[in-house]
Parts: sequence; C-alpha cells; structure tokens
Amino acid sequence: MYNRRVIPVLLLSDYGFYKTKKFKTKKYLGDPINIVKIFNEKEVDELIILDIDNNKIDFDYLKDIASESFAPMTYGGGIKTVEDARRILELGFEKISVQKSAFENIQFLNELSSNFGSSSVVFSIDFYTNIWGKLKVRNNKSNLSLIELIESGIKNGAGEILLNDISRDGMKIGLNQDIANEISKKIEVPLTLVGGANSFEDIINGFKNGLSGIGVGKMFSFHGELDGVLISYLNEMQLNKIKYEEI
Amino acid sequence: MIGIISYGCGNILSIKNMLDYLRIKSFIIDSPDQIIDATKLILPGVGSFDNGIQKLVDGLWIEELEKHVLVNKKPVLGICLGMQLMCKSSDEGSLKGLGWIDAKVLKFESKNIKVPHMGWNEISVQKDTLFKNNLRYRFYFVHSYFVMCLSSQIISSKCEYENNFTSSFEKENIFGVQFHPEKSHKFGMEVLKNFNNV
Repeated sequence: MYNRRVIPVLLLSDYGFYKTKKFKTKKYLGDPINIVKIFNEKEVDELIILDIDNNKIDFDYLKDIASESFAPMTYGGGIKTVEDARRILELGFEKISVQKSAFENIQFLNELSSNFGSSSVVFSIDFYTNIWGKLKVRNNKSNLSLIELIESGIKNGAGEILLNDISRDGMKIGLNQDIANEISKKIEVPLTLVGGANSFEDIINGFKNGLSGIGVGKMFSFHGELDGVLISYLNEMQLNKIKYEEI
Repeated sequence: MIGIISYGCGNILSIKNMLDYLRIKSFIIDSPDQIIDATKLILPGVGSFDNGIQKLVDGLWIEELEKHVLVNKKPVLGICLGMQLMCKSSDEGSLKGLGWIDAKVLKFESKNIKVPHMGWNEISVQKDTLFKNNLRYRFYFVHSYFVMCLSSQIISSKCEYENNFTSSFEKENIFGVQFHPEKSHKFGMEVLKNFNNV
C-alpha cells in the first residue's frame, strides 16, 4: 500500500467555510460542522482546516468541528504559543500547522516538535509566481528563498511541509508540477502541495512527482459552470488506484 | 459499559466520540477506583514509553488495573502507546512495561523508510476477533516504535513497513492495536464494535 493522501483543504472564516480565489475573493461554502460531516462520510484520507481571519482561536468551536471527524485532521491559524498547540491537539486534531509564528521565529517549530514530536508539526508556506515568473514567498520576513525557508523549517523540527500556491488558488488550472518535482526531490519529510488541482489525472501526476499529500479545494467543493456548491471526493476506484497501484 | 482510562497521556475525546457515534456506552475513568464500574477498558496513549509508565505509576493505576485485567479478566484494549505499555520493555525507555504480553517494543531503524511511520497502511489479519466481515482493512498509524511479539500465537494482525511488525495482538482478554481506530473511519468502527462484543 502506498502512503499517498488526497486532502480537502477548508478555509475557516467567521464560523463559515469559504473557498478563495488567489487568496483574495472568497465564496461561502457552508457550515463547517456540516461540511466536515459530509467529508467524513466520504471517508477522506485527512482534512486540513485553516483559519484565514487570524483572530483569537475559538477552542470550543474547534472542538465541535473535531468531534465530527473520524479521519486525521490538521489545524492552522493563529497558533502563537506551545499552549495553543497543546489545546488544539487535545481537542482531537493530529497536527498543527504554523506559518506566521514560524516566520517571526523559526525556533518556534523547535519548541513545538520537542513538545509534541515532529510528526505533529506542519510548516506551512504560501508562495506565488510573480509577473516575471519568479517564485516569491508571501509574508517572507527573511531574505531566504522558498527552498531555503523550507530547509530551515525542517532543520528546526517541522515534520511536514504544506505548500500553498496562491497564484493557482481557486483557479483549477492544474497543480504546479514543476515545483512538486523540484521540492520533493530535495527534502526528506512529506510534502503536501495545494493550489490548482483540477482533475484525477493532475492528482496522479502530483504523486508521480513525489508529493506525499495533495490538497484540494475547489475541485471537491464546486461543480459545473455556475460553480454550485457540491461536496465530493474521490470515488472508490480512484482511491484504490492511489492507495494500491503503482503509478 | 466501556471505561476509557484517562491517566494523562493522550487524546481520549476522539475515542469517546467514535463510541458515542456507534451508540456504545462509555465513560471516562479519572481515578483507579472507578475501574470497577466498567465492564471493558480502553487504555489509550500518545507520547513516550517512560512518560506513559510513569503516569500509570504516579496515578496509582497499576495495582487496580492488574486486579481487573489479570485476575477478573476484564477485556482491555490498548491503543497505540497503550498497546506498547502492555509489553515487557521498550527501546524507547528504561522503565519496565506492564509485562502483560510477552513482547518487546523496538525502534524502526532503516535508512529506506521515514520515521515515524505515519499515515494509512493496510494490515494482514491473522485472527479476526476484532477484524470481521473480510474488509480490506486500512488504518491510520503514527508511531516510531513497534511491537515485536515473542510468540506468534498472539499476533492478530501484521503490517508491513520495511519489515513486518505486529499491528495488533490478542491474548485471552487482552487486546492491543498499534493504529488509531478512532481516526480510521469504518475500519476503526469495526474494531471498536467488535471489541464491544467480545
């Protein structure tokens, strides 16, 4: 069996789930508890929930969401202290994802992994391709390049890298397969890429290029030309191919 | 009524959630004197081996647990670290395990695999007490150490990660699973349901 994961990524804002486009415009998806419940019934490999408001964490609310999932879950957004992380894990999340706090102080990853083990610590990075085709990291406070930043996160205890491709966010134009290939060759820890996934074939190519996880937003939440909300996931044949077949 | 032992190691909410969903009655056991109220026990756990054993010692759990498990033969299910604590010893620590099961806990050591072993993996069923209905069972695992049973008689399933390891054991009323049934959808539900029917 292959350890390949296809992961719905859900963006939390003011007690609702939203789908963004290039991280700017956002469209309402539905009630989080209800949506987690639906994905759970579809037996997803894993779920990633990211709070995009950066407000104070509402732990009681996260507890309600977590109680709907019988699959492993990652939470990111507003985690500033080890205590925040501990509380999230106690609610039933398996992993915590940090970005801003790690950008401000990369040692924070170290503190988290020495407390909870590196397998619970995800380092998340948003990147985009600028108009000259150069890769840029959003909110980068250092002068490190994308790969240097990733390597420094791993050195400091991150057990998984979550790369969010803003240029492709909500665009359904396919994953950036070049990045998938380039980065996964260079690092030892699991790499999850999210942004642009648009077909089963695209997902298969992502795994061929060495990704461990593929985050999916729009492909599993909107349907048809009018972009009506419809929660879906891989069918059994597709799941079996990903899990059990050489690709 | 299943009692989930809360001794300060790991997340018990997810286990309670799945049992509630399955409409299996359960409660959380906060102190050893409540063990008597349970007909079956779950010993959960995440974290390191020595920390787990130390918490059992400090909370005065061991004597009471052994009375109910070894003498009264109440069915007990160890999950993840809970399974490992039932063994004799672990490479991860220097404290002695509970020793209910003739097994050691070893570290994954190979350059070819990533440690911890994390994610979904399939098992090959050897005994179907917990794994009925002939499903193609897969479970969610997170662990850096694995159980090696000294007697193959008690292995109820095996899993492959570079080499074979014991993904679950059963010896009379004592059950242990390395994976997380509470995070493994219908496969995990099957395990908890079957344990409830033991």
